[in-house]
Amino acid sequence: MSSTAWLLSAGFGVLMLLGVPFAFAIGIVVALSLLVSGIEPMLLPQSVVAGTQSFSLLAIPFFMLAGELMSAGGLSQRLIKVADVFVRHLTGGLGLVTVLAAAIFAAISGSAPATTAAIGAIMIPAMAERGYSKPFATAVAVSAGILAPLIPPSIAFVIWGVIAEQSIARLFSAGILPGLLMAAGLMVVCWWHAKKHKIPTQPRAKLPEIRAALRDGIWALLAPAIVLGGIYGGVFTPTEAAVVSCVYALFVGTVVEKRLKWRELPEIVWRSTKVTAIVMSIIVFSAGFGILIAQEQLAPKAATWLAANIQEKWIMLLVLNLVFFLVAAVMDEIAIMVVFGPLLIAIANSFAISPIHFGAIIVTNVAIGMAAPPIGYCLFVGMAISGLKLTDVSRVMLPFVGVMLIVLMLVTYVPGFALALQ
Amino acid sequence: MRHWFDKLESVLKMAAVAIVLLMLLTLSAQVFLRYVFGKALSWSEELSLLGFAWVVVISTVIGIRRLTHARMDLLVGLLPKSLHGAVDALVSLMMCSLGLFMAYAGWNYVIETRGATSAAIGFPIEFLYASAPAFGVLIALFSLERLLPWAESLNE
Repeated sequence: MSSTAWLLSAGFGVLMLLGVPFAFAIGIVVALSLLVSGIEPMLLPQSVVAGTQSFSLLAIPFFMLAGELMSAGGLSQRLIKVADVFVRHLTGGLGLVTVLAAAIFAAISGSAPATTAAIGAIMIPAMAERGYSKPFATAVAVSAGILAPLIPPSIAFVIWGVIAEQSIARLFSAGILPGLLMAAGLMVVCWWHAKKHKIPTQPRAKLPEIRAALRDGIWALLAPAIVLGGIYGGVFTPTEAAVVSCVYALFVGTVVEKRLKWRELPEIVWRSTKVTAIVMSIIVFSAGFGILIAQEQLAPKAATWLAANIQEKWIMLLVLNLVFFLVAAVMDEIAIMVVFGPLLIAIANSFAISPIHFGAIIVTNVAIGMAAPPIGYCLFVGMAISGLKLTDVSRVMLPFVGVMLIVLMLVTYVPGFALALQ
Repeated sequence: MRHWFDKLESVLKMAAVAIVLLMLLTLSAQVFLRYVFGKALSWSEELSLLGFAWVVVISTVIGIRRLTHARMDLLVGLLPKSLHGAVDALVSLMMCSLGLFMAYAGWNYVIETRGATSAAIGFPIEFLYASAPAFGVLIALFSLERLLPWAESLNE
């Protein structure tokens, strides 16, 4: 291997282990590679600025902002109420409410941790009050958060679409069935848990209560229709959809619900911007990384080697899922996607996997990594809400992670799930 | 001296919020005008992307100050406590060096491309490319602050 190749692989690994944030670890190895190989240093600033100049990526800050505005305007509470009146009386009812509310919220928000925060902040205490253990309540909210990257709109699909140069709208539709499948799987775990622990069910909602919930929730329920209807009706691009949902959330929060105050706006905008930075910083520094990887021909070389040694497509996919799951235990999922993006795409090409199906596999992996212990954004948000430690939550997460992996296998080996709605 | 860093942070924060709101306004206008009047704006995307570059710079460097960036701290956590300070200092110094490199190369980049204008609006390209050296300087500055005594109290 050349010195650049060493820097990009081993150097990055060492910096990561030292605790350098992923974004800057990538930046540092790019800078060092440029110095070592005598390439013009301007490549770094040039690629960083170019990394921000993507209209598709502009969807990220606005989807983040839309989620924050919806929560601040009380829309997440309305959604929970709607889910509540329909399923709370079933076995495991409150768990089902959490998953269902998260699934609807996922059709507005593209961010997994934001969804865990919006739904979990209300549902974790509510479940703990009514017979569920706090760790289980936390595990449900953490797991339900991962519906956001699967069900469109999805920030993870936006990023993968930019990396793999695929249509974001098409990738979005590849996530719908896997997302619903995931929701169903999580619900089964809730049902099974409540049955096993004989958790009392809630009284069934009467018609007037259902009607009231729907009347109050109509504005929240309309949001997904506008966002998804707009994208698939060809009215606007995913980025514009994100902007429209911000405007919609602002309107509903300030004019209809009157719970959102204008003077709170700067703080809300800042909160969403701050979270955007975590994702965008990794993306902008990776642009230079990608150029160097391409120059060293690392990705095609590795893919050719893999294709020669693992001839079967199904084994390759199994290995890929396994490795992704293990790497996600130590590394940020977005960083995995952008750093290994060229390699992953080269693998998909050499095994002739449909790029849209492949995108669904990758994003399902990303989603699972956000909830599965020991690290993951949803997990951290859930623990912060409930005040529990990793050791408290990890064990109850196991059945959920098990179901997630089953869904991953279905998405991987039954291409129909990702491709049926194309 | 912390006072100065606080001041810088709050100015940058205000600027970022203002830019995001401006981007929101611009892009809303773009959708509205096209949908209602069938009129496409030529400048709205370019202006938003200019804003985006600066917002990414600002929010990223404040993330350094507040230690909010995604990183792996499992292994460092296993080291004896007495070494934590040394490792943190090493990390900050490396990030500071990256900032200086970025500032230097970014400045050259601005000089090199001077005089060019943007495609749609025609603003001087320095408006956009100046974000690169600014990014470098701010990375270096806020990484250095992480070496100062009050660093721990900044964590979010």
